[in-house]
Amino acid sequence: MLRDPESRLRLIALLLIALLLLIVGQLVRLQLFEHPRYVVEAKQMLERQYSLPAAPMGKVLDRNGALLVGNLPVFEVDAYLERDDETATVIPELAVVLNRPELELQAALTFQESYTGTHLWAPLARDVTSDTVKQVRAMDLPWVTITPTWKRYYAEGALASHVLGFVNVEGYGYGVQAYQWRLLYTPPELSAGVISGQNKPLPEEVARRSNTPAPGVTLRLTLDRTIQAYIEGELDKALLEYKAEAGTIIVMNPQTGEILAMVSRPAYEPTRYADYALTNQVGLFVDPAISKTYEPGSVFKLIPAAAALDSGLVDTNWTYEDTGVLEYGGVVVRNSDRSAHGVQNLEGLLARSLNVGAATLTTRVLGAERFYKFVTAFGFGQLTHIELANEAQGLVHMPEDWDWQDGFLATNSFGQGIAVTPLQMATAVAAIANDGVMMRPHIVAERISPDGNSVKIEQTPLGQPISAEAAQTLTELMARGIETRMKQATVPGYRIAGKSGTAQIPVSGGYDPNHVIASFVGFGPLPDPQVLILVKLDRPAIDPQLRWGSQTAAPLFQRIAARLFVLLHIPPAE
Amino acid sequence: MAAKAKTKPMHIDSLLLVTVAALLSFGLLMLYSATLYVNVSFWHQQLRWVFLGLLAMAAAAYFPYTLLQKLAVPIIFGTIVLLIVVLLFGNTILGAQRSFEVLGVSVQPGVLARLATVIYIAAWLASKGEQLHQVRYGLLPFAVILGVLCALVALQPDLSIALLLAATGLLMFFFAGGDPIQIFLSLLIGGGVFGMLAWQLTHARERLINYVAALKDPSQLSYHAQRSVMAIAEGGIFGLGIGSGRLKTGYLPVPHTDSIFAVIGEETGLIGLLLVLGLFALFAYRGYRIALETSDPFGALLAFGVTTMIVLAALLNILVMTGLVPFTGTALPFFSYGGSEMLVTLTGVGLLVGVSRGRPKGDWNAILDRSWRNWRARLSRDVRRAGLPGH
Repeated sequence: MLRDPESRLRLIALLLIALLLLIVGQLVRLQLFEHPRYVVEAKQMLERQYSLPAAPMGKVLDRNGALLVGNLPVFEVDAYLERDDETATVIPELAVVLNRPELELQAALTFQESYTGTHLWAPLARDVTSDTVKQVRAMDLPWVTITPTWKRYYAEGALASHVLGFVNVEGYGYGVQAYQWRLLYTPPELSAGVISGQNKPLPEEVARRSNTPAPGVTLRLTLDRTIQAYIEGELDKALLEYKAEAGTIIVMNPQTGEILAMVSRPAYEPTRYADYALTNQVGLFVDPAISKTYEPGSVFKLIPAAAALDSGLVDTNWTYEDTGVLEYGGVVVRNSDRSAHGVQNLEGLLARSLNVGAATLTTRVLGAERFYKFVTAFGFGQLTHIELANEAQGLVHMPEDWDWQDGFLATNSFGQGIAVTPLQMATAVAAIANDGVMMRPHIVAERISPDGNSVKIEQTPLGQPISAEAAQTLTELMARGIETRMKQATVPGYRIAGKSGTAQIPVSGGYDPNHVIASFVGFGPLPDPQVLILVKLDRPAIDPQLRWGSQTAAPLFQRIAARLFVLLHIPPAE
Repeated sequence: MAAKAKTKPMHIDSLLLVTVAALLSFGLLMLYSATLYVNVSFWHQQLRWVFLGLLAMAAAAYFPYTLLQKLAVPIIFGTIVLLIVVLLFGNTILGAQRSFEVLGVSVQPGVLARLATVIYIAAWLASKGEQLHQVRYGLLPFAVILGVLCALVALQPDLSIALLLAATGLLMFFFAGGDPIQIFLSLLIGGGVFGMLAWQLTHARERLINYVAALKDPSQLSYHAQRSVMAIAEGGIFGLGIGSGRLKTGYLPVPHTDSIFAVIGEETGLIGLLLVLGLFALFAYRGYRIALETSDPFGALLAFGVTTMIVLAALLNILVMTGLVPFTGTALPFFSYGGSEMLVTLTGVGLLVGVSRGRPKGDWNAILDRSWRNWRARLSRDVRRAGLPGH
């Protein structure tokens, strides 16, 4: 029956048709009946969460729009390996291109025996420049993924490092960037969608998403780059001249609360923050101007004086008998020169910086309740809410506190036993300069959103601790004080009010016998003070007779004030 | 015989050509989609191969195919040499020595060997006639010829092509009038040998083990088979739309070569796959009609062999892609990217067209015989002139 080719071919055709039917059956089974199940399965495999390309972070500008912090385009190079991907032959070249030890790379690109997955993900390099990426791309390795991202760029290097700060990958950090991080940085948007086998979202999937992540908000600061650079230089010189360990200078506008410049030493380079962290130098990140407290010393005498004037308990005619010693609540208060000064009025008290006089004001004139009401009103023991991360609130003992000692009322009067930040001190004195109105210190002048809309930050008063009259009286006393007894702090052609301080440094069990903190706070020009300068030098290691605030901080203040009046285009008085 | 050829002079099988054109067009369309995420330059190369293939097809169609009967021995000899060359000097791609480069073009003798084997077997079978029924003159020498060729291909190692060769050869033997009982017995023996050989090759063994496991549990299918089944099933009835396939973006291995059937399934659904199957069925129908309508035994066997070669390759690829047969890498003729494959397929189609045109008018055999004689004559003269003893 199989003699002729036609019947043989028929048999073969039958065989082929059987196979064809088998295939059609399988297709119907897969594409008709099991289709829903496989659709779900494919969706699970294909659709994953992925992050869209990172948006640039917001810039930080100085008050005139000069760039302080920007972004550099960099790349992340990762490996996404399959088990049979060939890596061994390219590792030596890749190690050179990515500047990593060959062995390290080898280890990163090896499937561990305990690991059972089909794919291995390993980060290869971070902050890679486009030149390096070009080299990597030229190697044409299918398992290498390159993700564009941004790196913070500090246009002025270490300038204003404490103010600008930084934020690490976990979102923690310092300075204005950490405080405003949620404005500056839009986290990469996570999206669920189809991912290709190379672990990238499909182009059409990305294209479908029109809302590319919004760049961060740009911050224009109140800082003036020129003034900042100038006072940083002055501080560096002063630290050398007076052999001081550390120092802080704050320049603010007392009428608005704007910080024009703020510097502390020692500082750091924000770009290299990771290196400092590795070498246990994280202490450098803490901004002494806002996060570290000190006992302000004689500068603080302005507070009881302001309180007494505002309460109407004293006036410029008020006098007291300075015997050189005052005993109160178990402490003995002496003047810094260990001598008695006879009958003194308020001007003499401030000009000669008499501890006995200040203690007389708090213990005899004001009393605890009234004095601490003013201390609180001036903002001590509270945050100023400047837009900087990690602000310290200081420490003020209140009469109702469990650890209260009566002697605090006497010692606090001249700035002992009370811990304040330099910024708190500057803010409080600024209230005296601004007719008693205390402006909230602020560092962000304007927020500029990526679409060009901008919001100017309101200048808000924190309160009015004293009346305008009291403030003007006190200002006049301060001005006369330096004019009579501290010529080194005056600037020809400008009237300046100021107060120096030489504070002891508390250590456990008492005060450091060898070191002091010399400081000076002043503002000018009177009668319309536009700039307030706080100068603080820690532990000047020169002759103890020459390291008083009036001898170190005051001349530094004078230099800065004279220069700033020029820089701010403030004409001298006739 | 001559009368029959005269009734269909110079007839070109237009249905066959339309079918082939449809397969090629659909193939190029789907290949473009499949190469989107791999490298579109494959598609540009494929265009070149199709062009060359069409030239080869035209040449083969107008080439007096009867000449091939004479040239079958040199062709198969050359093929065997090539196979040995590739075994000794070939490039290793994916663990197998299947190609070597000539002038920057990678040549896969394993693929070429399929057409050469078909031509040779057709010539050999046509010369045997009734002798085929005797084991001594039929099956035995046939098994030796086919065995050697298959073994050479299998050694590369390319078991799937060896398997296709064997199947094509056996079907041709059967079509030529071979004894079904002999074929059945040789299938048993050949299958045993093939099984043992497969067991020796690790990658083939693993696939077999995977397959047996997958029969019980579909999630045990090999990675590649799982992905291709998923792609086909995801397509549903109408598919995701041409170009919108998702598994080709890195999940489905080699979407542009072996897995193109799965890409078609995902993007055009059941409709598209039935179209592919229908086109191949139409191709098979036309090919076998040509084989039946040709009175010349060599022509009939050649047509049958070429059709079977292409249809079996397509069937094997589709069976693999649908998870019906353990995984093995074969191309889908007309669709998969690959120069050698495209050339061989289109040359085969050309031969088919040539056979359908009927026996060439000119007495090519006479011409060939004459030149053969002349050559011998010349040789004799030369020998004579050399003054060999005995003459």
